[in-house]
Amino acid sequence: MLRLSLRNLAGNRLRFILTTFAILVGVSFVVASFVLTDGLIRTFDELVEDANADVDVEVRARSEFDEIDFTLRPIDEALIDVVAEVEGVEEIWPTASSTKILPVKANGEPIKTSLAPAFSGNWVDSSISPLTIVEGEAPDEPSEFVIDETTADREGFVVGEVYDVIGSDGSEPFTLVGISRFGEENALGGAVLSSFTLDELQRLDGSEGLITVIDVAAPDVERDVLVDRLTAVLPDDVEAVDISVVVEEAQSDISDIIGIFGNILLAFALVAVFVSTFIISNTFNILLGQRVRQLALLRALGASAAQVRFSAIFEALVVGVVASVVGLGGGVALALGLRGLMNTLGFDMPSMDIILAPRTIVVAAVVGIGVTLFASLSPARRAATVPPVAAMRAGFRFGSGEGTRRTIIAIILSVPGVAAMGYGLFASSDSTALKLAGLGAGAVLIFVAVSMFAPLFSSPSASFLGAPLEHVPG
Amino acid sequence: MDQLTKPQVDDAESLRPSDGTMAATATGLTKTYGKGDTQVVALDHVDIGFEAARLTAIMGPSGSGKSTLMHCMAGLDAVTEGDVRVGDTRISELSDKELTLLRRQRLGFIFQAFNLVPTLTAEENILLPLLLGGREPDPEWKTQVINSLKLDDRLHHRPDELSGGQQQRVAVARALVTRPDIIFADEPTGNLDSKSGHEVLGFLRRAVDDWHQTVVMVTHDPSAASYADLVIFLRDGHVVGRLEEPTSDLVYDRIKSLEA
Ligand SMILES: Nc1ncnc2c1ncn2[C@@H]1O[C@H](COP(=O)(O)OP(=O)(O)O)[C@@H](O)[C@H]1O
Ligand SMILES: [Mg+2]
Repeated sequence: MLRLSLRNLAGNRLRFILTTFAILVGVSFVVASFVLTDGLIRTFDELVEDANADVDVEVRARSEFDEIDFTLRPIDEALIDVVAEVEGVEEIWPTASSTKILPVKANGEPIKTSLAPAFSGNWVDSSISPLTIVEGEAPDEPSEFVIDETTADREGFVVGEVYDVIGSDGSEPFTLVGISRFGEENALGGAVLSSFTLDELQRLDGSEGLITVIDVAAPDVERDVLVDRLTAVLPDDVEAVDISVVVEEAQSDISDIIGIFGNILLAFALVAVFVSTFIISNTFNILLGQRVRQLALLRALGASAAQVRFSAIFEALVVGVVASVVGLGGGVALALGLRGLMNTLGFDMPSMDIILAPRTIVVAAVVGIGVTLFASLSPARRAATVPPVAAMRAGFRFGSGEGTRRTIIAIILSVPGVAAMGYGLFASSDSTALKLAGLGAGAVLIFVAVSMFAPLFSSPSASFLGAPLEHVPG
Repeated sequence: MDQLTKPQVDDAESLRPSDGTMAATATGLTKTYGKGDTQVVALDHVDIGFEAARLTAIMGPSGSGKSTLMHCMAGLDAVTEGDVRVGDTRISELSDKELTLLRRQRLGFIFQAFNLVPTLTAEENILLPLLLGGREPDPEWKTQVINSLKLDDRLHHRPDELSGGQQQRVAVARALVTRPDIIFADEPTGNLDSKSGHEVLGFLRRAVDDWHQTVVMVTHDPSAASYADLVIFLRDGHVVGRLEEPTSDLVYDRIKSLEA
């Protein structure tokens, strides 16, 4: 029986490929969303870790709530001296940042920042920053600045030239003394990044005397001890935090952002899975209709109903396994393709490791095999009802069976299904996870409902969906 | 000729074993299709028996109930009324599982067309009833069957690579390989040219003579019926006659007289 199932698949190779392809698309999308998010998260994680490798403790404003907060309240720069006095502190890097500063191109037009915002910061030593100088030098004098590589290339900034820079107080000329690179590929997602000396940055931002954080290195002191010593001298609304905590927070913030992006992909994946489930279920029904005589022949020759049912499910299993395995590969390719697409669209993405997490493999298998098996259950059950006489009597048709009961159940299921889907798609508030859950649950309910409806009009819908298949030579 | 107007007498006669046991019998077998106005009575209280180790042919005009009779006797279709036995087994009492086993182990089938699974080789088709039961063929018997049907050089071909006659020979081999209690063949030569047809009929005849198989065969063709030991005539769901030691001419004459 197993051999027969395999032969049936092999005998209809093109049809097998098409069926597999339908489910493969869904699997690939799911895998791609995981691979892309996992890869990007790891890249950024490493970036954050590397950038903070030399830092032991960060001094920053104490946030009232434990919330995702990208804009820390600034702190008084007088604290720089306070921190420097603390026993064991060897090096300190005060940093400040601004979104109010924008360099102007040589032709007098400001840089377009439609894709992502413009960030500016004070130049800090590369040992604690992901920024390195790839041409020229770091800003040292008040009237000097550097700009990131991608922006310089795209907007035609040349080292040594003088450019106007718009600040909170009008524009003034600065000399471009260098080109910076963020990480290894300057993958800033399309953002513009310029760096100045600390004093100039504060002045341009209009926040004289204020800084964002102070990074502290004290290699000879235990971090707990350093945190205690700093806390003792800092005001109540400023805290000293072990850098590993800061790194974790930053990584989780990044994961959240990338996660949202991943969830959008996952929503696409869900739609793809939903559509492919429907296609597959119909395909199985068509195949079944075409194979009635063979099934009946098997029954006449002594195949049990269970054997017939199992052979149909086994065929689906093979399709599911192949779709899952190929879908894993397809997903990786799709992830790389999406990354390339983002790059062409101007959202610069860093290159990343291809991470096939166990979770990704499990989900691919569950989606690929699970969905295919699920879609095959009802056709398989129907296959087992083919009476052996159908082998000799032409014109056997599957009855629609308990038509009204099916219809009622289908309607009962589709109402909450549509509601859940609608919630997932259109709800304005609430968490993404909840919306996705709604989307998923809705898709499943609607699928079940549709698949219950399907036999009712299996001939019209099947012949519609099956039309392309019908011309496939067996 | 008196017999023909009193089919019941004839039926009673066919129940009487002439020399051996009955491989299968039916008493009061009735099969109707549909309900109410559109109801068709395909078989009407038929009493019949098929003697073991003999080749019985069933003849009759189209729609007379020949196929229905075979399906009911073989447990392929449920009877409306009456009692069907294969050997000592009352098949109307069997569950679907038991019927499946009965078909797999004790019955063989040869149909007019679509006998073979297109994706399996000739050999796999022959062994299918055994494979379904997870059984190994008796290698000697298998070789004997395959050789006598001249299929040894066709074993690895797919059905679509075989001629019609070869396909039917594969079906015969499949029916024989399990050594069933009874082989049902519904117009096994209906789609064949006369040479291949006679070849297949010759094999069925040999299965009965050499291996003491029991074969029941539906046919339209008097010359095919002449291979049988006994011809039973059906009309409108009734047994209307029987003919022992048939020849083509005798069968032909009987058909003429039945149509009259
Ligand atoms: N599935 C069916 N539904 C309705 N009527 C049927 C069905 N099968 C057979 N019949 C009817 O039963 C009668 C006997 O048919 P059948 O046994 O196939 O005859 P034969 O094989 O002698 O040509 C015919 O009138 C036929 O139309
Ligand atoms: Mg017939």
